[in-house]
Amino acid sequence: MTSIVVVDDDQAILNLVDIQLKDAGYHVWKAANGNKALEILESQAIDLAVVDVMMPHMDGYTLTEIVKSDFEIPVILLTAKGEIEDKEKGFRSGSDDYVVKPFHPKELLFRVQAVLRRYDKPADTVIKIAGLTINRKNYEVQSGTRTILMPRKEFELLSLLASRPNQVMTRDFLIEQIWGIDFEGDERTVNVHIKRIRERLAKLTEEITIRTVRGVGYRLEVEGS
Amino acid sequence: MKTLYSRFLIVTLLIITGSTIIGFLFSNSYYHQKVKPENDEKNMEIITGIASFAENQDDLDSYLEQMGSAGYQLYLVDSSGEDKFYGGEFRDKELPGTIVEQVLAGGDYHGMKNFPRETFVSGFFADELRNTVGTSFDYNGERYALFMRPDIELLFSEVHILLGWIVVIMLVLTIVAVLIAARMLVNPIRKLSNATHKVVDENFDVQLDIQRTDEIGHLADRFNHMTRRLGELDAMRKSFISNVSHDIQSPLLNIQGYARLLENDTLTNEEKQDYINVIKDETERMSMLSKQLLVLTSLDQKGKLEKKEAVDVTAQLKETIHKYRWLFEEKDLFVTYDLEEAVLLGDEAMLYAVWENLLTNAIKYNRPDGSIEISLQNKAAEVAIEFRDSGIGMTPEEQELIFERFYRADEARTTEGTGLGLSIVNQVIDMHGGTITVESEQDAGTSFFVVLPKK
Repeated sequence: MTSIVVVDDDQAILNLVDIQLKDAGYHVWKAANGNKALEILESQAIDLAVVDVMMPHMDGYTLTEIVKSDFEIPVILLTAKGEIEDKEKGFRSGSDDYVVKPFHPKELLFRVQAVLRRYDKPADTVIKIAGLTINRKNYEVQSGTRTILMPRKEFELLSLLASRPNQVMTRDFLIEQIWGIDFEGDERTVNVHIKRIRERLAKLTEEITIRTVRGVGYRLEVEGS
Repeated sequence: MKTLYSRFLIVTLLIITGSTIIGFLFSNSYYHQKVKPENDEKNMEIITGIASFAENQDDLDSYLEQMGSAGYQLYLVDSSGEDKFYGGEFRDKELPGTIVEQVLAGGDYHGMKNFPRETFVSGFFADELRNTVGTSFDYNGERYALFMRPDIELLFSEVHILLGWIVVIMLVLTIVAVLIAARMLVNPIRKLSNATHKVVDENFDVQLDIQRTDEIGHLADRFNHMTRRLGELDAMRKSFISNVSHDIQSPLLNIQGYARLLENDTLTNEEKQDYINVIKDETERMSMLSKQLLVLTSLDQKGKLEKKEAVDVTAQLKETIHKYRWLFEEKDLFVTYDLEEAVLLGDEAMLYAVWENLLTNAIKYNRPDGSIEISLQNKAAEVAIEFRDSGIGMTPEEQELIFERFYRADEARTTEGTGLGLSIVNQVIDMHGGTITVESEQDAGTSFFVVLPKK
């Protein structure tokens, strides 16, 4: 089970985050300050730390730096509203993402899942294809100055097809890679997603087309190559 | 009650009295300074003439009698002390014996010039024997002293009466005119005062009928404008309160209802969870409502931006998008944004509320698998921001009403929301001197265009 340490001097927030993460199936360790958190990190195998910025004695940035250098696990910062400078500082100290208080429980969960996913799949994170930059680290697609945020399955499907252009991928392969072996839906799900990606791509670029290979699967083609 | 009438009257009378006194003092002083010596000299010439004529008269007594009836008051004394008055009678017949002796001895008497100066008595009118000029002459070998002053009463009594009439008529006319003028001033003020009473009783359709171009007319115009505005505000306040109470009441009723349902022991876990979810949603709605009401109140109080700071709008938009990314994911939304760098002067927190409202609207009223496009163009003097969604859209009628407080296109109020969001957005943008416009087509989507000046 994935273990998360939550560090905040505010007991109420600590409990709230604890409940939300536990409900989502994570194992949660609570720490009221930086030193407690470090004690837990030393004695337990922890996968991720959620750290509040404003804490007495040791602030969140300092703690993040120590966690990143000594334990090499992802860190999500909890910051107060509108502190954009703080966010830059947070990223400089090495945090992987941030959530602005007050936050919706689902937002925190979304961040936790995204960061953990990123750590699961290291390496080859950025694919550049026909003017599109597909960043598998932050799940963003860049087209010129425009940033595209796709629903996760669609993003994964596109990045998988784009990782090997012109190569046919079977529907079974795509399902296994993206939805997992336990997926209970049928091939139509893939078709629906492909259709949507096509519609969306059409607005962005004419150079990329996803072609259906009848009876087999799909292939991403780049014009002029 | 002290009325303006009595006040005007008193002030007018005071002014008349005061100016009379001042005028008198001034002219009296002028008389003493300048006119008195001249008058003395003039009369001296006359008496010298009379005296020299008298010396050659056959009948001194009748000559002087004649002079007396010609408008001179005369007093004759001979060396033996016998005296006689001719012409109009002196009011005060005091004359020290030494003066008579002096004149008999050959000196002239300049009683007019040397007449004692008194503040409130004009020497000119003093009907006194001392206020004369005197000289001596010889008649039939005997020495006489003659004193004289013009008979003012005889010479000027008609003028006196005329002057008196003029003064009386002037006084009466002045007072009447002042009362009329006061009435013209007081009447509109009375009207205003009555109107304010009505306004106090929350009657806002008083319109003053005062057609004047002066300050009072101006005041009346302002007053009319004010009551009209107050009336509008009052209507707004009333509908606001009824809306607020409705919007507080309905979630409360829902919570009560579902809480009662939960008391039932035979519920399945699933049902229970459903009811709990309703209660959770409703409390969230109320919490949002109270937050937004607070924002609106503070916006109302501010009215104008007090402090303007440099706001990085691009960073704010990115931040807002970052915050709601989980919702895009949950609703399978396809979001693209193309933001140029832009900084403008404004209120950071308020602008943040604008982006948050516009974005959550675009999410809330979207269809599953829909899309949202956000763009920012940095122009010369302004920043143009667009939120385009592929949502349910609105009819033209709805578009006209969306910036009204508590208006919700969704009459059934099934989608969460308070109906205050766009009203806040509108107000904030207005305070920044910007504009917001909407383009929408039903079942196709909605676009909001925000234009904000950089300064």
